[in-house]
Amino acid sequence: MKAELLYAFLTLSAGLFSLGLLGLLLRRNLLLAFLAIELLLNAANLNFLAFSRYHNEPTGAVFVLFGICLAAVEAVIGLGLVVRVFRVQEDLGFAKLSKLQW
Amino acid sequence: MLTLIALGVLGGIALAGGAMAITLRNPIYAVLSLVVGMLGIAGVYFLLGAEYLGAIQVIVYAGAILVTFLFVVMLVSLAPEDIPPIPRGMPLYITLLVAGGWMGVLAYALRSVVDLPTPAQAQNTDSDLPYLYGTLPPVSKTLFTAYAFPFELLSVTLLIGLIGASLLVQKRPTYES
Repeated sequence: MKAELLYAFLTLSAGLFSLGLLGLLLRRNLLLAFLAIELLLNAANLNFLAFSRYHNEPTGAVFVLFGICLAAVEAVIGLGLVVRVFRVQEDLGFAKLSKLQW
Repeated sequence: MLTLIALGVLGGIALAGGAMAITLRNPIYAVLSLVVGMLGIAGVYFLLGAEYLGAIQVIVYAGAILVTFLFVVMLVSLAPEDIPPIPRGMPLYITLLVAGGWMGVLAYALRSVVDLPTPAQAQNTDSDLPYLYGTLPPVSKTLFTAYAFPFELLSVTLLIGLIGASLLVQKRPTYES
């Protein structure tokens, strides 16, 4: 793969990362903020794979596999927290999200 | 060139899905459009020649993680009117400036990869055809030789996540009772 093509893939990844950042800053809701975090994680994975392809070397692909597994764990813990918070105060807005006690 | 066109189409799908996911008011539509975006990213993985990870992306991300999101959206019965609207005016402009500026910084900083020397392994394969680095045999060989211990740690992490999530959502006795 040529370096220019690598740059195109990295730019796509940067665009996804910026979208995720934008979503994280704009959506003032716990669940939708987690949705934006998934976008951020995917941007990182895309970078790993682009460089893996550039060097023709499977290590980056292995790290993407790890990243997807950790994203699954993060989603499960985060969604557990969402359910927990909803049970306590029935409002997932950031404005009322000031305590994590039960 | 063909790769670039395919990248434009698939990356456009991914970016459009992501953009709709962070702007749509109805949370169910937001999650579903992120599914479309994840399928676009999976297409980009296929384009990069990583067939195995493209399949994993479809199965685990679009199939499992986002469906769990969908379950939780329905479980906490998030209605569109529960979602605070996207702020207008100054906060919106500042946020757009931060995200757009960050995108600009990234695009500018990443420009230096164009000057990278072509790696030795890729020198004799200058075509746009995908290589076999991302198919199952090389990935699993690396995974189970060089990264066998991190792989085992990862399974423990999944177990910890499972236990932690079930502890988080179970009903606990209060201290008063």
